[in-house]
Amino acid sequence: MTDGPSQRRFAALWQEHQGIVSKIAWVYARSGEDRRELAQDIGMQLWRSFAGFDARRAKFSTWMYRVALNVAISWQRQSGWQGEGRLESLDARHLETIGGGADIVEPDARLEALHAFIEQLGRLDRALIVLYLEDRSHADMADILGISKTNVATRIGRIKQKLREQLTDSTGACHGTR
Amino acid sequence: MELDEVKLDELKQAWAGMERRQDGMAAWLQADRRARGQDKMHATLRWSLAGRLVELAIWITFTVCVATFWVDHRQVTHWLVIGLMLHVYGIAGIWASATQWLLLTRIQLFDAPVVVLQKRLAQLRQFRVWCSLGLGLPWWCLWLLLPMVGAEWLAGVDVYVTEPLWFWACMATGIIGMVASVCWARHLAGRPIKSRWLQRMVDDMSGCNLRRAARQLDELARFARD
Repeated sequence: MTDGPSQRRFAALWQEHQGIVSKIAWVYARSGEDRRELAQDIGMQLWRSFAGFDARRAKFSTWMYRVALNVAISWQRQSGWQGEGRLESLDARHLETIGGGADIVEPDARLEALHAFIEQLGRLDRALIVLYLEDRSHADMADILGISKTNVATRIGRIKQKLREQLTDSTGACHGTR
Repeated sequence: MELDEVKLDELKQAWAGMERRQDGMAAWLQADRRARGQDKMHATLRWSLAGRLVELAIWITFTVCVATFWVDHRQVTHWLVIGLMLHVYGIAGIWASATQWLLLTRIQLFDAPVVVLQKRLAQLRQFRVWCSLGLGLPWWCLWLLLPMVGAEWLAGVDVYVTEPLWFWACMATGIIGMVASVCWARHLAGRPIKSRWLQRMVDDMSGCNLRRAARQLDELARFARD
């Protein structure tokens, strides 16, 4: 594979799937600056690994999730912030940085709730919730993570249960304050 | 329960809508990728693997030189013992470099399933710590042995015969130094250190990094098993 066609092919696939990268950066990094750094690292690793991508063995999106999640988990471990502090709240300032400096979008309460929930999860469970939110099948998740489908189902069930409890608690708290 | 499902669906919708919010990030990533130059990224990886091969070549050269030395001096007991010790050290260096190179080639693409790749990374981290301990601590004695071998080989000066007391005093200091450096690292472990290099050294010697890697492997095993 020569560099020219390879670059063009990568650019086309990247264009189509790059939303995944910024979403994973949102889940694993703490501040806007960290998100950019992580997204940059993921982008670089994707390009480095692209020579080894074989479309007959895996879909591009599956391959991309693997690379991106692996980079994000390793990045978070190296940066060593997990457990040392909380994720910063998802206010308008962060929405601005998510948008890379684009127009500020009004805060979304659902995303704030999701952010608060993700903050409590371990690195591997974060990977699971990303895939769950992306509506990937259990078979895809198992393939991306390297665990059995049964294990995926069990873990997703637990995460959803936790999420439901949290949503119920927050609704109860809201009603209680009214 | 139905209400819960509605809420989960709402979260999924919010997640899907995040892409719209992140248009700016996408454009920024695109520009960044162009600016970096893709060939340079490939070159970095090639140099990283080439660096390991150079390291391996240095260890092989070292081992060959040491072997030549002790074979030439095998009739003198202390040179035979020192030569054999250095030879073992060189073989350990070759083994460490070759193993690290193989482990690196297994992870370099980062495209293995998450649990598999993270396990390989933890194993590599663990192996690197053992290597830095096994190959680093002996320098407390090697700083003397290597110049001694050099002096004998190049100038025919046998420091062990001319200054035996000094030799044994240095060896004893080296052994005390090894123990002291491990104790010192344990003492410093957990305290903030400005230098990243020093921090890594302290974490390696105190066993912090080994414990971290072991915890990570346990976490991965639990995740894959549950």
